[in-house]
Amino acid sequence: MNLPKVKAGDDFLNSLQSKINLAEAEPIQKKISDTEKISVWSKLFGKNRNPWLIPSLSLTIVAIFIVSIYVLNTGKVKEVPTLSDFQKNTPSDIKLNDRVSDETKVQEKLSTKDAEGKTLSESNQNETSRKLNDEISKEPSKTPAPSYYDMDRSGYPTKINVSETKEETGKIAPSKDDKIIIQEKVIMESEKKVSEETNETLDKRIKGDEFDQKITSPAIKSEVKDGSENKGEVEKKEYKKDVKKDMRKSKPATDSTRIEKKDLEKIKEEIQKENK
Amino acid sequence: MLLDKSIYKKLSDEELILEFQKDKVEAFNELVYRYKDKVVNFLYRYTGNRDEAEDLAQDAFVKLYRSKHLYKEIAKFSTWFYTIAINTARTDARKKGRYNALSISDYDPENEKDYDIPAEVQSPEDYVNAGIENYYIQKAIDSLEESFKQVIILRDIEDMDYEEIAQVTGLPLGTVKSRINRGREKLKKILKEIYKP
Repeated sequence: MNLPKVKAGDDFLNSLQSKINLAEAEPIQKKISDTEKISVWSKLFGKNRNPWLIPSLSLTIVAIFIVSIYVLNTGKVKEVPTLSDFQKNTPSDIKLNDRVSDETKVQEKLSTKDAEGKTLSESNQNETSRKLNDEISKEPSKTPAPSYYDMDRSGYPTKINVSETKEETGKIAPSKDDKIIIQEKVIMESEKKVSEETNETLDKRIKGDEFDQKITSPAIKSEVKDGSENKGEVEKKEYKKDVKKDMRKSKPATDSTRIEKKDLEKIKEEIQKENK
Repeated sequence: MLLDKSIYKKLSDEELILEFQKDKVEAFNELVYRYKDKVVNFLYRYTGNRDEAEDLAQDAFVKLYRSKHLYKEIAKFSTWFYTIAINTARTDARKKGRYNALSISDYDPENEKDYDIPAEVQSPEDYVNAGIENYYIQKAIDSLEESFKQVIILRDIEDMDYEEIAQVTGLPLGTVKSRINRGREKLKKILKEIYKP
């Protein structure tokens, strides 16, 4: 076909140059955008997110959750009170501990001051300590004692059978508060008696010293010098007898062993009644 | 080693593209100088619009600029570049969703069907440039189907041989020959209808 050939226009090369420049600029922009720093959130949730981040993140979240639960549970176990804490914190035990401390104080007083009544005080102490031990064994704790838990060496509670403990003791502790109050009264009375006895022994010592002082006083010595020696001896004996009489009149119950037996019998009777 | 601009003019198309693959921009300029009119003419016959043809030709050169490394010496440069130009025109036509020529039925002597004349109004510029005859020939070419149009343009306007057309279109040689014949007959039919008294 003899068709006329169409030629390119004058602006063809200029427009081609501009298009080439645009085409060259495009990959540079892409490179710049590729090198731009991508934020964490865009990596996680954006278009440029990495697929391997999803399982790794989920695993880390689960691991943190498990660790937190473990830590919380271990903290709770540590907070569980031990048996020693129970003993310290229960009010009845606090009273008993106070009593024991009072006893020790009395013992100290007796040991330092009383020479004659040493044996008596020791016997009394033994008896009172026995009573207290018996009371502790009989007395039920008001607070929820760790009946289902027993402490091992590590300090953590371990489960034991209740039936085993019952078989071992053979007793079921009374749960009434009145009995406890009565027992406490009895103990208080016994303590009062013990304190009275100690006062008596102290008085004895004081009076014995006065007697020696009277004998050794210069007035008596002068009388002895003035009179015969027999007269002086007679006076001494008479004075001692008078002192003994006064002591018997003022405090007839000087023999503490008799009082203790009576008291013990009373205590025993009361305890037996309570147990019945 | 830089070559003088006059030296590039002595090189063949294939040598120039090889030089351009070595980032010698002067080689590309020489190729543009050699092929700009040919490609614009081809695309004008293909599209029927000069501005569109120039735009498509520029796009084809840009593709050549960006994909220079894809050329291999097994084919002629002209074949490869026309292939780029045709593909550019096809994709553009597909994007626009239209062909300049309205649909025309397949040529069938027994069951001859009516065909539509392109509805585009003649512009004064086209009229001045091509004349009335050329205008109608162009409209007849535009009214051809895509498969016939490209082989007829390459053969009758660009004066390519059958082998080159086969390489550019990617069709077998026999198919190219048959399509060219069928396209010519269709063109005659259309032109007869146009020039009917």
